[in-house]
Amino acid sequence: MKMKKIMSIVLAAVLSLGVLTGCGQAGDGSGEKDGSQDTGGAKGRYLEEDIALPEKTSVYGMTRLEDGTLRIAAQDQEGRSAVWELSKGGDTWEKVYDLPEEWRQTDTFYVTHVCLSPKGDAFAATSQTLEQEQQTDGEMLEAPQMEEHFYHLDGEGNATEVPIKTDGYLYFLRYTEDGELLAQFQGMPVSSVDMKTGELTDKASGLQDITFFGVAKDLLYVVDYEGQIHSFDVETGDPLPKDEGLIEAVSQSGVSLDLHSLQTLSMLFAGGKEEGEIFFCTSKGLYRHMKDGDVSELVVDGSLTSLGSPDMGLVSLEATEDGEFYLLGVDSQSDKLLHYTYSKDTATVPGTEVKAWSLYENSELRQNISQYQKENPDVYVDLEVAVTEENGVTTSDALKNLSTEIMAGNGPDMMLLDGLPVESYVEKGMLEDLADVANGGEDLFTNISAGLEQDGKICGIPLRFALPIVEADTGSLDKIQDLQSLADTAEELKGTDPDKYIYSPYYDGAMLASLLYDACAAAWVREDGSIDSALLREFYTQLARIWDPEKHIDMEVEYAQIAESGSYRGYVGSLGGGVLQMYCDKFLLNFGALWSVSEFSELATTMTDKEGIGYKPLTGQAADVFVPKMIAGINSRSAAKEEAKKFVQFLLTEEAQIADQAGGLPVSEKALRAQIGRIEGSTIGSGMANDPDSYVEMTIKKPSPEAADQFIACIQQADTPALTNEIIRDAVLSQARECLDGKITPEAAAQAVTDKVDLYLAE
Amino acid sequence: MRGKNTGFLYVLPSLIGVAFFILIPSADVVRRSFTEAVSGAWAGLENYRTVFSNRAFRLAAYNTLRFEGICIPLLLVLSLLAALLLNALDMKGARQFFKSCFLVPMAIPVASAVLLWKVLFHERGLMSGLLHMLGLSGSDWMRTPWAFWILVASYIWKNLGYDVILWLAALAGIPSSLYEAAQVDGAGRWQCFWYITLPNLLPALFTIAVLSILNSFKAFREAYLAAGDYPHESMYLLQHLFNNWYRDLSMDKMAAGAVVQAGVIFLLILFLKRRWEE
Repeated sequence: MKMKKIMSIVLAAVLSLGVLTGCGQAGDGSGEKDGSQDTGGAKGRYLEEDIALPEKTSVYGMTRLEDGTLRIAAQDQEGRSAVWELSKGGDTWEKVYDLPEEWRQTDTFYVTHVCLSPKGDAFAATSQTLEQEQQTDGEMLEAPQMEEHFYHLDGEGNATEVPIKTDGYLYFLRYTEDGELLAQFQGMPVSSVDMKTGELTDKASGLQDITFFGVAKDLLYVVDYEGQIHSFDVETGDPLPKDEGLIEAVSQSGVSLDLHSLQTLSMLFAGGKEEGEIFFCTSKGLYRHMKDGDVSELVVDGSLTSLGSPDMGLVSLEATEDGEFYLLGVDSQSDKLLHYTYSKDTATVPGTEVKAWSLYENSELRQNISQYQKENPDVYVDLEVAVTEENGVTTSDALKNLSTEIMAGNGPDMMLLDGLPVESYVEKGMLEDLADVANGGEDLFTNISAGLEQDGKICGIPLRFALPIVEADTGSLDKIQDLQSLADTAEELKGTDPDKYIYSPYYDGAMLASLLYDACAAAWVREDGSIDSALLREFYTQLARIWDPEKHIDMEVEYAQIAESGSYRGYVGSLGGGVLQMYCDKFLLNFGALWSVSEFSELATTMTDKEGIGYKPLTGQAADVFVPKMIAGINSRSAAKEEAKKFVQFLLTEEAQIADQAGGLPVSEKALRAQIGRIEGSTIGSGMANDPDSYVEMTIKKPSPEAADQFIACIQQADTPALTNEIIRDAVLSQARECLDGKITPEAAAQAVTDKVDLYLAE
Repeated sequence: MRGKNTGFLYVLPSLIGVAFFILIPSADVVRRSFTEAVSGAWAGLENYRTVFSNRAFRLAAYNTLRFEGICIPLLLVLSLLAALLLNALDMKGARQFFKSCFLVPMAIPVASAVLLWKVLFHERGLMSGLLHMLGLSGSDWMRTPWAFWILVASYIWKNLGYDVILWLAALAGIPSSLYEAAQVDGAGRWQCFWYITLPNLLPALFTIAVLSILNSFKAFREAYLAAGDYPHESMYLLQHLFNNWYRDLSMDKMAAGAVVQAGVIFLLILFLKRRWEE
């Protein structure tokens, strides 16, 4: 029995230790928190480098000649096109030949495609807009007609017209390795083009619902409307059995093949050196696949390179015999030629990890991460987006998950604080003081970057912002000094013209309130944190005066529905579409937050073209307001604080700030000026399909330096951050709808908000 | 001595489990109630002071007590009445049928129940529609003081069947000889109930009351799914508050509030136990 007793004690002890050991293992996981990972010393990774393209050109296409020379066709700023070759050293471009001078781009004539053959010849398509009086056809505007011509260019650039007869426009072109041209015309299957007769020969068994196609040596891959990949023999055009391994790999990577534009594709193909070796590239990375193989190997990780950047579009891919890759792409700024070379001395997995967290998807941040990783190959920024369309997580649950991670010591190093309970985090000392970073940049609008100072600390830096603006005729503009005078002016203007509006007639009460919320809400919160009910009542009272129920058109889309769509909620309340309506004399008044340089360009164009229209920062119940966006914070408990800080510093550089995905204006003045400088002439229009009279358009002009200076002066005086708390915002806007629908009085609306918000604030 | 130690060793594995999953986390909550949320610095009774001076806590505690005070007696009485009626049914098939009917709400998933709430009590829901037909105005019932009573009704609807089964089990445990003897002595139905049934059900009442109290905290699931983090003030319960504190990383206040709540429940159960033992 004694033996039994000893055994029992030993077993119990083992069980106890077993549990403790389990805890110990979990603790070891926090070893990553110091920002460095044990990669086991594994070395070897593809690194990305930019190859500068011929100056100020935009590229049509790329190919690798049989001797390995890289060739591109590009158009310069004067509209002349030429073919260029990359020198053997890979650092200079030599012009091979110019395309005919008569092909120089004009308003009505341009070169639409230039596809280069690996044999040295090329194929080009030109388009001529036919003179046609624009007229309405029933309810829709008829598009202008184009006439296309097709040419074969020999190795010296001599053009011979190819008499292709087809009704559809040319969509895509690709040369095979043997110099055979494959083309896809609108509504037609992939066809081989006979350069002499212009005859088209079906190469994909009549498959017509094509999104795009690619060629990898002797294989033709055609992607249909449903994103399915079909394989064909490039020589015979015979269908091949589906490459299930390839289809599975693409499916698992989560890339949507049905998303593409005429210029960029969601997937590129290239043939490899070995028999049946294929390389394909998506935003997730560059993969190696063996024909009909079960698996695909990730060769270049998209999350560590520009491939993962949301503004990177894929155009063309070439693989060399040496295992290098050239990728032609285009981002929001320019065309890119990216060169991927294998570095055997670089760690397979970056040694330093910075965990970034954002409540909603953020394209600018993703783009900035790609840029940062490219410049710092040893750093991996792992972005976690809490609320996505796929995961269906609610904001509240996402915040609770974050709390769990933080309390478990696995919290992110860097966070975007938009939508987070920042006051609570600051109160608990969760956020690092970033005063030195916020005031660090020479070209920063420090009134904004350091605008969230509280008790001498800056725990959040707005990387972007919006500016509440009011636009009106100069007479009215002078009168608008605050919310009440805005309501006075709105009332005055309401009755002047029955066909004109003072805000979009499709807006419901909540949407109208959202236009003014940012310019007012900052004034409502008292020093003790409670809500000033009297000011809130005043807000609803003035809102009711501005509200124009007679002109309201019910869209059956409520603010709540838009708010539920998460990342789009910020755009509710934007000045946006109203600028175009002011330009076209459809609106008498326009107010809301200005979010992007493109909105500013519309505003500046209006100021240039329309005499007597002006704009100024909107003073509601608060003055000099800016709306902070992309507020960066650093977890004070993070062991990778320094790395996270460097990343935030990078996010404030001109290079990072110049990214523009309509997520807000940059806080870097240089970046803002650069974005304004990039504005090019274009025409925008809008209208309802069922109402031809509603169609309006505007030709954007590059803002003058004076216009840019005036705008920047407005920014520099904004030093009051708008209230960003989404619980308060939702409460105020939902009551606005009730109030303006006449269900409750302004007093009751204010009281309802105060009750709810006071409870929230009391917590 | 030998038997005592052996018994201890037999319960040790389960004790370890309970210790790791309940006792130690509970002790950690108590510890955290005396420290700051993130830094872990000693805060003394500050968290308790904050919690008791917090309007949201006072409101949530009041609503929770009100909910318990109304729901538990109501549920116990209604379920007992239903059990007595079922017990009095002569047809065994009918009894089984009604028992199943009472249990159906328990089988309905919370999400479906919430959907039902919304269909019924939305501004444009069935309830408002019905009132419109009668010439009355509807309302978004979940945003009015009626929200509390909707929560009460939902709790009763969901848990009635469970309590009925417990009462029926207790009723089945009363020897029929007692009733036969009483009837021989000339006792009527009421006297049988008052002097035999009720005293014999008292031991079960403690168990059913405690289980009902514990189940009442599950009513939060419906309230949360139907009305979110900030429902109408009348149905803002302690779980809402804890939920929101957790979201805002206010672990210090949450720990203090949880200790207070656990203490109250513990004292209530002790009190009930003492009363029943008497």
